Amino acid sequence: MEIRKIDNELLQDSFYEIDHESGLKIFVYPKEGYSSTYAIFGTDYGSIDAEEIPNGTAHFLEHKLFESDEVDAFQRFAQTGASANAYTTFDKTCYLFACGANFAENLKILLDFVQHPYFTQETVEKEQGIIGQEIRMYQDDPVWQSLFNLLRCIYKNHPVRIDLAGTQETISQISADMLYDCYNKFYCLQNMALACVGNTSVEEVVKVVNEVIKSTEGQKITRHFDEPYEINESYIEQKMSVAMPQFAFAFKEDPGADHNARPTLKEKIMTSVLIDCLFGDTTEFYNDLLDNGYISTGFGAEYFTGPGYRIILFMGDSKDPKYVAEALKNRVLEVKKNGISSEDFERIRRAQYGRAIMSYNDVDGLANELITSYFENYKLFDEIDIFKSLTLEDVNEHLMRQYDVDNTSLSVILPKE
Amino acid sequence: MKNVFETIEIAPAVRLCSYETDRFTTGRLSISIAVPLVKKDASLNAMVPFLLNRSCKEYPSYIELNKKLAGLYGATLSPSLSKQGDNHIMRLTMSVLGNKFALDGEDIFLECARLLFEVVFNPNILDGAFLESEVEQERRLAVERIRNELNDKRQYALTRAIEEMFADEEYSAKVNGTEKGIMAVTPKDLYDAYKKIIAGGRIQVNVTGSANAAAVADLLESYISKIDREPYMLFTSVQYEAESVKRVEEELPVNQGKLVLGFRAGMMDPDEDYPKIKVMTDLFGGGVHSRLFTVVREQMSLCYYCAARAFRNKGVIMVQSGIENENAETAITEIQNQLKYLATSVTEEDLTLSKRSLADTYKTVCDTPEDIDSWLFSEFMDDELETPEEHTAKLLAVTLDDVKQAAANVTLDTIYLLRGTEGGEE
Repeated sequence: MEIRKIDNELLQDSFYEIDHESGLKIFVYPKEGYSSTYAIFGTDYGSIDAEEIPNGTAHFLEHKLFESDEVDAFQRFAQTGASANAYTTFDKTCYLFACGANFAENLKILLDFVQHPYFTQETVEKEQGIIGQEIRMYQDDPVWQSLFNLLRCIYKNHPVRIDLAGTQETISQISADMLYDCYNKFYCLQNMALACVGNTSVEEVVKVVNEVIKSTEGQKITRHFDEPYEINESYIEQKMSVAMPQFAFAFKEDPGADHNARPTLKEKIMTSVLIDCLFGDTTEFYNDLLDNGYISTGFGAEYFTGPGYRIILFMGDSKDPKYVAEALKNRVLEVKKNGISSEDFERIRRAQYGRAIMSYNDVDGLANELITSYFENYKLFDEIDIFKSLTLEDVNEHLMRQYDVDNTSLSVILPKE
Repeated sequence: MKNVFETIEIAPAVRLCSYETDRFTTGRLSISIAVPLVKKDASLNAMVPFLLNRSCKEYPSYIELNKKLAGLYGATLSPSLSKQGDNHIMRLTMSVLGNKFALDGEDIFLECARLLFEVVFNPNILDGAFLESEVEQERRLAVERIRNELNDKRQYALTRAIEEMFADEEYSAKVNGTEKGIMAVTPKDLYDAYKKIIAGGRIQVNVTGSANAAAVADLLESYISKIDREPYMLFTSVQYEAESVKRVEEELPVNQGKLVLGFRAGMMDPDEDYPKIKVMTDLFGGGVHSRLFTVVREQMSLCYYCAARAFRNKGVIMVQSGIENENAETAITEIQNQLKYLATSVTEEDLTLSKRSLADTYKTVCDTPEDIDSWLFSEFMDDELETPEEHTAKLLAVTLDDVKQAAANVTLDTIYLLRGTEGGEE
């Protein structure tokens, strides 16, 4: 077992990275003076890993893993008072709890239930009712629908275009055997990581892991996606019960030579600085759209990325989404002429540096970020150093590589009468 | 640093509540102002925090104010509206980088506090009115906020249920106001409303993190002392039990139906009764150990969510669920059956689990600036500030008989069902 301590001088904080004999990667971030501890046990497996299985299987499996032939995991956590939960994203599935007491006992339950699948045809069928209602809830959510409609417009093949939880039809095809197959393939320790943050120590975490964890055979999954550079469709609309039009708009980017590749942390930071410099609430551009009634303060942009996909995404409501989409493209063309100014760059860099440090605060945020950093192959504190060394030239060069105005899609939700 | 809750009384109905600590990289700063919730003023009051958030004398446009915030290491400033009992609450909240990260050793927190007070107490006023151009913008955004209430069906159903349940009371006024009310306001009306709010509102400033609360209090005092204050008497009416069951059904072109059950909690004396109501509501529909989760969701597979929440300041309990239309009657019956279970058959073991879960939750409040600020905000209407530990002690003192009695005192007032008319579609 190898333990490395990772310090950050600015934050005056440190965490530990542990390679456990079982193959499990462990992160421990003790926080002095905290009462709570947050643990998260995750696997590098999400809704995009859907080859030859029904859409929504990863999410279905997440629900069913709480079940047991004896006492289910929720009931076990109820005995300790911890609050437990789980979530599935495009590229990972995570199980977690937060507690103010009995950390070691809670960690035992977490590691134990995730390593003990129990699926029967009967319990699978029962869950179809519950998840069916979850799916219907999302079908009525205009933000969710505008995003997935957009992803289907942007991507021809990449499975980021499929609904995270599947549909009522696809989940009806899921069987107990399929769940076991997926579990065995994706829930090996080599493909997983554990992060514990708060009122705990390396000794405490390692002791529980040694006691509970079962070694597994398997390997880290690899992904391959075959996706062309060009968008699939440039426009889609759907009518729903909403008061005014909602939209999602994106610039599609080339994910790189290796279609499994993710953007580097530096690329993410440069993109995020650029987003605020071009479209943020300190720009004349944003304020003009707002003053002329084209956007509301809910308008926002983000770099939406994962294995083999990366888009610059804009969402909001507007009386005229097509006008906003054109304005965004024109803004890009205009700024590309001269690049961003050093005044704008410094202001945004300072703001984002502050927000980055602010994010190193809550135990839940830190634990989730540790898992994400591991699966995405960067280190938790790297961000701060990148902000310090980032230059105007870096971001202006990046701007010239990004934002192909001929490779965009717009998704609109219109009010239904 | 102190790591304790403290209160400084600034003036009648104005106080500063603080929790100074070095643990966080982020500080939290908020100002909450409460005035009586009345339908005729709701639209005017609803626009005020958003107008304040737009500019001030010192930074007279939205872009200048945003640039100032960016310069303060990306501090955030956000307005919000809510109600606590029969009071309309306007609130502005800031997240602030911890002082030890300042590049030039400046006191970021104090500068943010100064900015917040400038925004609230020195707005951009011309000839006794807010600026016409800003009012026009905010009018448009306020109307959109009201219309967009429809988009989140879960929240929409809850708001509609409350409107119906309290139809005869000012409490049914919507915190965002009404479209008609918003369209009627003038820049001068708004400034008059603002002056009344500042002079009469109950004010609480919360300070959390690596801040010097005493210095913020001095600053606040310097602004308050310039105002000719005459605080409102704030009062909330609580109805002990339901007179009869009101049923309201509506339709929308959606897939999933939404069910809301509004109960009167049988609350006489909030200090005495609320801890019992709180524990009982947790057992009813609080978490994964609750009856609504284990029976209505897990055993019967009727829904993805079914949860109960107690509104302390109004003495009501609201149950929300998303269901298929044809399961509505079963769900309504089953939800009430769980209350009967609590009134008659709840066990010591059930109670132990609930107390353990509640105690665990309150124990972690002081680990995030947001939770500390929310805790202080939840105490806004109380003259004596209670700590999470003191609150936990009251919950742990609740007995099994208390829970049974609390459940027996609950009466169903309103059933609100939003039927989806697209049930068959995929």
